[in-house]
Amino acid sequence: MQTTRHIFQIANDFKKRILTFAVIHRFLKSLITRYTYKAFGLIIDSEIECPELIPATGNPDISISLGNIPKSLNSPLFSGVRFQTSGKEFLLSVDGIARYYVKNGNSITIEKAINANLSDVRLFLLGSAIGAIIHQRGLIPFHGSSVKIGNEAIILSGLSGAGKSTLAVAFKQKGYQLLSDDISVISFNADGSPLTNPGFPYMKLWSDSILKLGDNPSNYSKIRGEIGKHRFPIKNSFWDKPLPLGKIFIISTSNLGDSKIEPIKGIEKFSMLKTHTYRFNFVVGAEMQTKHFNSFELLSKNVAVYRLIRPSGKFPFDELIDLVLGNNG
Amino acid sequence: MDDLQKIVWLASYPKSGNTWFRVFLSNLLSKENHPVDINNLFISPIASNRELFDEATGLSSSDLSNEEIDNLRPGVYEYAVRNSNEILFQKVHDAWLNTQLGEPMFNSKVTKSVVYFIRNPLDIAISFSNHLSKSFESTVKIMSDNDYAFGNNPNQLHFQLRQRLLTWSNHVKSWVDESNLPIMVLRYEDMKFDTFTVFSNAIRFLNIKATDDEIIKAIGYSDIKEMQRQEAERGFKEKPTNAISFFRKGEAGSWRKELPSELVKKICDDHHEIMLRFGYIDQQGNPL
Repeated sequence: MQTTRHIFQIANDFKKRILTFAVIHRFLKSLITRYTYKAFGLIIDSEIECPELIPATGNPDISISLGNIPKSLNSPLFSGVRFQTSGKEFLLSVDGIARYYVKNGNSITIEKAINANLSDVRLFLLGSAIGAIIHQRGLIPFHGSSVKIGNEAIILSGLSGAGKSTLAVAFKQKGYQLLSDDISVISFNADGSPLTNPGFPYMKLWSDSILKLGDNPSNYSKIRGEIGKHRFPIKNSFWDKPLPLGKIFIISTSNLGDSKIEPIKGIEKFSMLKTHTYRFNFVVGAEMQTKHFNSFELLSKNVAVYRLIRPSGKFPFDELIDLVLGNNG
Repeated sequence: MDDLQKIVWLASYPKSGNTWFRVFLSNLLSKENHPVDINNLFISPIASNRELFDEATGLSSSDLSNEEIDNLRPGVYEYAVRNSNEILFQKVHDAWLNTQLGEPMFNSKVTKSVVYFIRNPLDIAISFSNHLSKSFESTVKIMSDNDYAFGNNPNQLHFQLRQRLLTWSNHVKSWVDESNLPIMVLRYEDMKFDTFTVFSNAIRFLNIKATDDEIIKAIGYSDIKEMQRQEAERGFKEKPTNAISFFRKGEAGSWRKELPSELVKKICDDHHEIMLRFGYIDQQGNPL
């Protein structure tokens, strides 16, 4: 009797210890587990798991952490509706989701809203917050998707709704590889030639674009709540190394006639490059602005920019792809 | 006067003369000796412009729900006035509404004044049906649908943000009765009948200094024939894809020839109060 009870006692103690150990282990693991990824030409060390990004090793260029952040910046040089920037510091607030504090081009601290889900937190992290840190590092986050053609990358840009992502996926269906969706980070070689850096192997596509491409939107999860935009994986067609940037195509629509392509030159070229830079108004202060101005000059000198016009309400994929490839007629 | 009050809203239900007035105003302000390009009007973009929203908020509107977007729109217009040294003429088709947070989307803090364009809904039905490429019957239904909005399909990205129009009557009431903003109402029919007087009054209301000759010149440059000529030559970027042309006839009273009598009756019944008030029907509900 005595012995049996004793054995039970020991077993119970042991179970408790294991449970305690498990709790402590989980706690400690949460303290020490960090995730390392590569994206946008950078090694990212993150406290939160980002399944969108490609795992990597190496010395981090930027770190992402959770924590408390300032309510506002002390001396912002420019403010928008939900952001403030002083150049080296940047603060973004997304109601009900999170606030993001981006500093010195090497750290992003996130203060998550109580009931926010992490995929929403990541959506704006991998959008505006990344855009801010890229600007702080003096690189150009260009608003567009990149496609590998031969040994170069091209960027498909344009206003929201012009069809940047949709045309990029149309290329993918023809067997081309993609480097990024929505934000294409441009850096420069020592000789001044521009490079396009890979982003991550997911795109955001609207239901009607998925349908136009002959696929079924219900195969893909929605990016957020009821918004009809889906997370579209491109893992099998992803090119994960930087490539020389060849050409930039600014897609626009016209209700006059057919698809066509025309080169953009001179002063308009410079201004189009600026217009289609992601979140250009995050660039403030003399130092940051000078750096960007020089980058745009280099870019303008070294890439060809075209206006790619498609008829509004239509998406003649083959025609547009031919125009981009330059073998029309 | 608060120095943020810089926006003049050029507000209307669609197809009510808003673009005509914008072309006139662009010509007046440009002071050139040739008509301005209708595709390059001297007037800031429509209030529901997506690029302005994304720039002002630092967020992609395409990652936000329509309600989240509306909640931020008052801030977007404040951003626009803070970053402008000039009066902003802003076209708007949205009804005047509060956001979910209870804030007016177009509020007095940023508003200088409103020019509201109203047109006989019987004529709107004809013109709007061409604009939407829909039958007269569906168009008349839309004009009585309080939930109708432009840019409301959740499965695609629209070039513009969602714009709630409400019914034709409620659109009028929202701006004219509920906004409490300094407002001048222009009837399309009066604009057609005595363009010079109506436009001169509007220019005075807007505190724009212009001589009679300048006004006459700008009216000439914004004649429907000139706008049609330009559209035929180079197109008009604001034309919906499926519509044959944007500048159709610009007539008042073409409903008499084109609109079936049961639809005339439906419009007069559905919009009785406002049509009576603005002189489009008589006491008995008969169109004038």
